[in-house]
Amino acid sequence: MKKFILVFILITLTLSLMACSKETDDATISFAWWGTSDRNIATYAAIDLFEQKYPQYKVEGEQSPWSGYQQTLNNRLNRGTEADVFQVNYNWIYSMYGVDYFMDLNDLGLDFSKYPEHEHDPLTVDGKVLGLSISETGYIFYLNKKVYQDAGITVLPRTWDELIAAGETISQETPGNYALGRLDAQQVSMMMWSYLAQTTGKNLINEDNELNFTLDEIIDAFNFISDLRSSGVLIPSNAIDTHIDGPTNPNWTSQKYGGIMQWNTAVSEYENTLPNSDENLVMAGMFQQELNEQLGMYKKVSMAYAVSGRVAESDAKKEAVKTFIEFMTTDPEAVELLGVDRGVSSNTDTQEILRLSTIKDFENSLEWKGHEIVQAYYDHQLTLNQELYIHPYYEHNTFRAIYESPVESFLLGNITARVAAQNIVNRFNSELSRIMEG
Amino acid sequence: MVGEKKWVPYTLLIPWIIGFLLFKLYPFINSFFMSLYQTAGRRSTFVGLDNYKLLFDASGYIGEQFQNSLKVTFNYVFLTVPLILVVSLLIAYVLSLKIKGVGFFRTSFYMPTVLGANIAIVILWRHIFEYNGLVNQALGIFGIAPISFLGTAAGAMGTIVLLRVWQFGSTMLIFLNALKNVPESLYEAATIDGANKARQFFSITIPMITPIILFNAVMRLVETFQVFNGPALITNGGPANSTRVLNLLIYEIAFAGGDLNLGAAMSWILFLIIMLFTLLIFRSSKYWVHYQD
Repeated sequence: MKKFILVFILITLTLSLMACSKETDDATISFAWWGTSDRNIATYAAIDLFEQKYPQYKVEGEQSPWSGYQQTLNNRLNRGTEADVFQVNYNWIYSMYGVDYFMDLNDLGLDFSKYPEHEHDPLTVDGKVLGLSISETGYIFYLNKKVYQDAGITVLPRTWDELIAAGETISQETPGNYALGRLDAQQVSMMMWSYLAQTTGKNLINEDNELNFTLDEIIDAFNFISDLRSSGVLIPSNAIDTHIDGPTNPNWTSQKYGGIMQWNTAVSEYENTLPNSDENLVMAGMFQQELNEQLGMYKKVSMAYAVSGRVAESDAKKEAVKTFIEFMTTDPEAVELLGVDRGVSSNTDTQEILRLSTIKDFENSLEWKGHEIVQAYYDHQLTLNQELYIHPYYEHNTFRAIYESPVESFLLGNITARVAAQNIVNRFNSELSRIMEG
Repeated sequence: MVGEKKWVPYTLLIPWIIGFLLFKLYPFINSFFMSLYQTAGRRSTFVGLDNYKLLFDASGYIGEQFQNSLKVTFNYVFLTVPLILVVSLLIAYVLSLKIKGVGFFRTSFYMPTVLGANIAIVILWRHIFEYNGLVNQALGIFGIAPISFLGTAAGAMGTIVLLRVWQFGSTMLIFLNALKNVPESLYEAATIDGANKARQFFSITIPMITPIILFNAVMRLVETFQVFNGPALITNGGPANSTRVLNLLIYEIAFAGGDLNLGAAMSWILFLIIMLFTLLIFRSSKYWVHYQD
């Protein structure tokens, strides 16, 4: 029995020592991000370059796919084992915000002067800048020219009426093809809010954090979706296409669907799966009620770099992290390597580097074109006192079901426009309030 | 000499004991305490049973979602468990007969269980049952219009139930073994008394294997209440929440939504439900399970 106890104690001690043996190394920076292969390759190349230029530092890159990244980050934050620098979605700053999760970037000594002033506001909580904006993004349309040309349409639509007319032509001339095709509940929701912003001039959520649209207005938006479905713009019911991953949808890759509505920073996923996308995929911005209007454009910070609260405990670590973030966001060679894989940076110096790049014509990329139209429309809306910034809790994982579930049911043909709208109105304010109170 | 080596088995058990304590017992107990707290950042506040009240408040959104998931989970379990038991028993019965190539059939029927409901199989399943999937393409050959398996509540539930029932192999093997242990003399006596095969099956086979039916029923019940892969990867809880089983909702709220406390409360309710049904089955067993001794 004594030997048993001895062996047990030895094993327990060994395990405990192993658990405690993690050294804190100020010269090693851990960096976590999510991304597809293009982004991963570019990021590792930038990390290699950083280690060449700053041999005193070592970077441990931790790539992940998008799926599961937030869940892992949540767990690591709860256990205090998060990376020193990690990529975040802007709304996570709010839903994950704790007194000591994130370091206040004001204390890191980064130069914010090259960023538009308003870009820190969405990432500032209780006066602390909790993330450095990498890029901004907006929900816009991209069209596959080939689908339109096959139906004899040479001028792409710019207004909703033109889009509906195009849908009717496409369904007559090329049955089975659609002007857009299948949009999921998330995309249709954004389309409805953009449509309503155009028709009412209002944002989805008002300054009191309440739903800003009336029941009748939301019913009108659902009826508008019905019009798009009956005119060959959208498929008549999402029950007839259950492939939920847009970029790999066979109807997208076989060019039966004529368009998508997507964050301009995420268009490459669709671009990569479409044949001849260089030629066929074009940025269409936001369809308007009237020609030459520039309304209904929502935007948000696409993603940001956040720094672990633990970094603040060591000056040497702070210096290392500051050097790394500055390198990733402003070093000319790093900026060219990273390109627009994380969207178009709002840092004016970074934009200039990309604009002058001889490696690639970044300005002609779909991301860049999307970025320009998002900024132009958004700025125009501000002159009309319409600030359509995405609310920080809009994409909260449990709150989004409040609007996406009724929209999904409607798209499947399970409920009417009135019932769907009523479902949204019934729960919207109470659930938003609950989520915000945390 | 033998007595001196008594410590050996205990030492060999240590890795398992450590694993059990760290990864089973500690999380199990800790999750209960977590369910009594609400956490903001790294600060936790004791809230008593508030998380549980929230789940049973049908006027709130979370309560509505939780109750929908409870309903979906019950539908799934009460469709799946009887189907697995019936299908596996029938196949086991057929395979217990003296037919040619029985070994091949046994292996074939067990194969889905070897493959399991792993990610690759589940994703494959999704492609098979999509609107443009393999099943509808096959139906199209016979001029049958495509069916929206994953686009309707009933179709989606049917698909994830079918995935689980498809893996009936281990249940079947246990039944097969039980069937072989039924004394041949009982069948001979029944045949002499003029009982046909159906009568023999229901009056001899079934009563004789009721302890195994009990075992399989409990195992499958516990397992199916905890289903996750199929609903998460084939339907993602849809369409319109119709396959959002409790485990999926727990995952979404606890890990994607970041509310570990509410997730812990939901897990405890799921645990209590499984306990309750297991106890009910055991309690009822004295009325229908026949032990030979």
